[in-house]
Amino acid sequence: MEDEILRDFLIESWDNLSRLDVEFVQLEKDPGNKELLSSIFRTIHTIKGTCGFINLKRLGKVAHGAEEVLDSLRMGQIGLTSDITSIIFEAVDVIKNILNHIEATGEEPEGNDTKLINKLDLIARLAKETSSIKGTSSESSVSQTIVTTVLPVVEIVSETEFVQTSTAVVESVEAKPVPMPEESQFTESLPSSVQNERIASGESEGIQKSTPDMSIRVRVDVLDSLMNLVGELVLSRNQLLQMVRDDEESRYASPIHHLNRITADLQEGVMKTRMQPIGNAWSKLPRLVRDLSLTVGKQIELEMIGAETELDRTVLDAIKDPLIHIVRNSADHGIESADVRRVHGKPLQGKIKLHAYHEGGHVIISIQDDGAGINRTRVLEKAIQNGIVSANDARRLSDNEILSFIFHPGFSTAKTVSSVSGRGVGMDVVKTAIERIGGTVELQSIETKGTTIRIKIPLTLAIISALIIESGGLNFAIPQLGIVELVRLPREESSKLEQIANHQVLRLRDRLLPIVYLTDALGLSRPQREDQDINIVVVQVGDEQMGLIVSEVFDTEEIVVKPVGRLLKEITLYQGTTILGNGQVIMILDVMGIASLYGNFASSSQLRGDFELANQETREKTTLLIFRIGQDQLMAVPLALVSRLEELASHRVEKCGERYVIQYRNSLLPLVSSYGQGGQTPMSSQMIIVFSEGSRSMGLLVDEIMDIVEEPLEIHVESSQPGVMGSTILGGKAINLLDTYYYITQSQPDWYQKRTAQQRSRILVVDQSMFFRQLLTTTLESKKYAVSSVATPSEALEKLEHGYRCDLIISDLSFDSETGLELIDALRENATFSELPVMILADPQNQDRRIEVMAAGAHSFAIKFNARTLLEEVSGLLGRKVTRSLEVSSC
Amino acid sequence: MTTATAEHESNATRLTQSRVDATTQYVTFYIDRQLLGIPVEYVQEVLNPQTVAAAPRARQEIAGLINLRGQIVTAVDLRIRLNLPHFEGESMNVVITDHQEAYSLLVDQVGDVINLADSEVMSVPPTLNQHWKQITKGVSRLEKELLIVLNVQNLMSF
Repeated sequence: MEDEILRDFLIESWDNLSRLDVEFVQLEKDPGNKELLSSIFRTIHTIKGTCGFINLKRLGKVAHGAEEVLDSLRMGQIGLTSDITSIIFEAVDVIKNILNHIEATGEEPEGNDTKLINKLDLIARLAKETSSIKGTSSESSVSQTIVTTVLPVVEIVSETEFVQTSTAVVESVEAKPVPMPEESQFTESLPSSVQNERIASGESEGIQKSTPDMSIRVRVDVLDSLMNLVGELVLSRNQLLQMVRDDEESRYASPIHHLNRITADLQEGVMKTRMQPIGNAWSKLPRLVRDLSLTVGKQIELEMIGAETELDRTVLDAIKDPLIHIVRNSADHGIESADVRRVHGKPLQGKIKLHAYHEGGHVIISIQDDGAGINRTRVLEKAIQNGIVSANDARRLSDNEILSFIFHPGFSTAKTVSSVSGRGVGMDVVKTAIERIGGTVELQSIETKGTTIRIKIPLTLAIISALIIESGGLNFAIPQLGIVELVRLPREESSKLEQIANHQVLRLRDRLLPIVYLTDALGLSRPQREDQDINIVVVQVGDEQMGLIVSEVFDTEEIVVKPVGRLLKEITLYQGTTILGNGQVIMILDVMGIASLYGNFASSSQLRGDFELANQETREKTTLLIFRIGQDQLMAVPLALVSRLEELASHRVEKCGERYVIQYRNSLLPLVSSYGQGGQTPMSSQMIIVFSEGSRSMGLLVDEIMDIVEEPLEIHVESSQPGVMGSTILGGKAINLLDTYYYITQSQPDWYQKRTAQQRSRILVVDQSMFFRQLLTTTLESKKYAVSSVATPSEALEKLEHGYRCDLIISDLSFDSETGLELIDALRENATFSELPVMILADPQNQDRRIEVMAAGAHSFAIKFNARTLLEEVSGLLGRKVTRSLEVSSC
Repeated sequence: MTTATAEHESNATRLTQSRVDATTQYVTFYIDRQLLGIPVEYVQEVLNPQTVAAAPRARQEIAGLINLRGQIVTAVDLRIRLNLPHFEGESMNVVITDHQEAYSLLVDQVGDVINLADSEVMSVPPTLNQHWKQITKGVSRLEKELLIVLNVQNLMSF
């Protein structure tokens, strides 16, 4: 019984509190609005009243304090200032926290709110005192004012009675602890007067417009189970429809069609019960913007249109946080400070406009601000700096492509990390959250004019339309929302599907579509039917498209999405499960999850761009060793990292503990295979690529050495596959780049740990090519140096100015608009860095510039790229340091 | 479902009250000729062999999903969970509820529902391997064979 009261109390309190935030912000704009004040007062008052009833002491005290202040406001004893609002908000936050705790545990949390209560009491007491000073002249006139201003039609309640009640409150403030019985008396007396007021005034101008008789409170789980039942009904109907589909003559056909219609209506009706106005998701925003504008000192107005637009509560829940994030971003980064706005001739007060409306089966929410807009140059700089795009590629990007970097993981343009945003997590999370519910996000931004974000989301998630397909002998559902088109490739055209290394691509019209065998993604065996037409389901993944090869495409069906069980939650491939018309249980695929298996999908746009690339000659060339693993997988590794190639009889491979080794030059060479740890099916001879470092070596088992090529090298698609650094395009084919670091640590986990005792020297690598930066970083880190890297000399200088310290800089000689010599000059002019050793690592064609470089003040000059010489040179340059640390250790 | 559990609970309470020594009812089943039991309050129902729909990429203990009158239930292959070889025959389903979610435990054969005084359930021999120790609660010497009582909480947390 008591539990039920508590539950009802929680539900009601949450309802009222969520309205409270909105009301308070409105009230700040319109301080004279007595309706609003009364409504706010009632909310807190009800909470306080109920607390006395169910014995929640801590909550009761806080609510009481807040109520007192509100009462003074209501009585007109004090005016509303933003300070008072903030204190009341503070109290509301405490109330919310306590309610949360009660909801979770059924108990009030421990804690002390004396400070807050004192503040509230002080305000209330001051208010009472000032008003009583005013009131001494004519006490009745004060109450007269109260009666006339607060409750204009309250004549029904006797004046004296009302005054008595309010003095009782004043007394109860002074007499602490608050005596409970007196309170509940009060609780009873006020609502009746409020009610009287309502009845007497006879009009519904108040905040609560809904007539209580027309609506009832229904528990969400009741609605959910109703929804489930309708889901079942839809499934049975589908089954029946399937049965009569082939037999129009059947005598069941007519009743079944009738059932079909009724089911559809019922489904719609039940859906409606789950619909909630989007205003519920917005209720936190006014307060958020208010608090934010106070902290960052901006003037911001939040306008909300279409708050009554309804959508399913599951969808509503899913967009709540993304919306908050976007609005916070707009307020924090978008809207400029008043000073800046004045300069640009804009109204001093910035404006954020939220607009929601229905369009087709979707809800559109647009968030528009009239702020600074997104600075493309800064986005681009940041993208280059974060290695999202290379400086070379950056020049070819369109405006939209640049803006899309905003959604890239780990991207944030905020120069400073403020307390509210700019922590580098952001729009990518927003985008993922919205795409997960089948929505899309678009972004438009005009510099100095503002930014508009448009979110398109489905009305509901519970029943969706999905395409049923077969793959690896099993049926799956793919949500129709994510499907772009179906492509059927006749077997004679199967050559359009190019199978290069691990990456399949399809020439589809004017572009290359990345292709994934669904069986591979699901870990099923690929059907060996070469003579069949190929079915490809093209799906949208963010801004990109991807083709899924499936064995069979069936019908589109309305399916009821059921959440996956706990034990399957960890698998990102599924967004739910469903039961088909025939009773069969199938998994609903999550195309986002499938795409995420194949690394960072957003960057595949570069793949498209690079095929049109013309200026390849201008880029550095790297010598690569290309080898084959397994049947058809081609991989490449920079030759500079390879120590030797060996061909040995396979029977010499021996197992030693868990590892495979081979006796080699009087020592044991640990072996790893790129199929996974350990050995392979024996062949008569075995190719081994040997990587060495000092006296330590390891061998990588490969099937065939294919070629050695010299090519400009760029990593196009970063990989999440262990052992693969990324993919590159060589001679028009996609080839995976070997991550040597991975295999070395696999063969000898302690390889890199051997040197931890040694003092770590810090090296800054300056090179425009992302590949070289990675290569150098890997090479140097293998020697336990701490390595940072930047793309240009100016970035290097900026890094140093920001307090980064290193023991050595390794820089390229030529950059797009700067040279390594300029870097040296800049360093030599700076007292702090004049002694900092700089090593210039030049392209082979610049070999003859050694004298010039050394004359400019470089400590060393080397040619790209021989790992061993480089490391010797580096350890030489840092030698003094190392020697010193050795001396120390030998003492 | 919840009402069924509540009923079982009240049953259990009644039993507790009627005797001095508290007793528990166990649903028993065989896996690899070993008799195992779980307290009846966890068990929702026992079903004949069902069609199990595969869930690729799921962990190997998960046999797939079962359509239980419109409710989708995760089927856990108890043999794999207990590190035993795969069963070649058709598995029976013991549908249990754990943390408000239903699971179907695939077992070789279903046995009787038996009443045991709590004092009759002893702790498992210390020599049992760690994995089994973790997921068992105790052992009881029945007339003909030993009954191993499973610890449902631990059994289902993986």
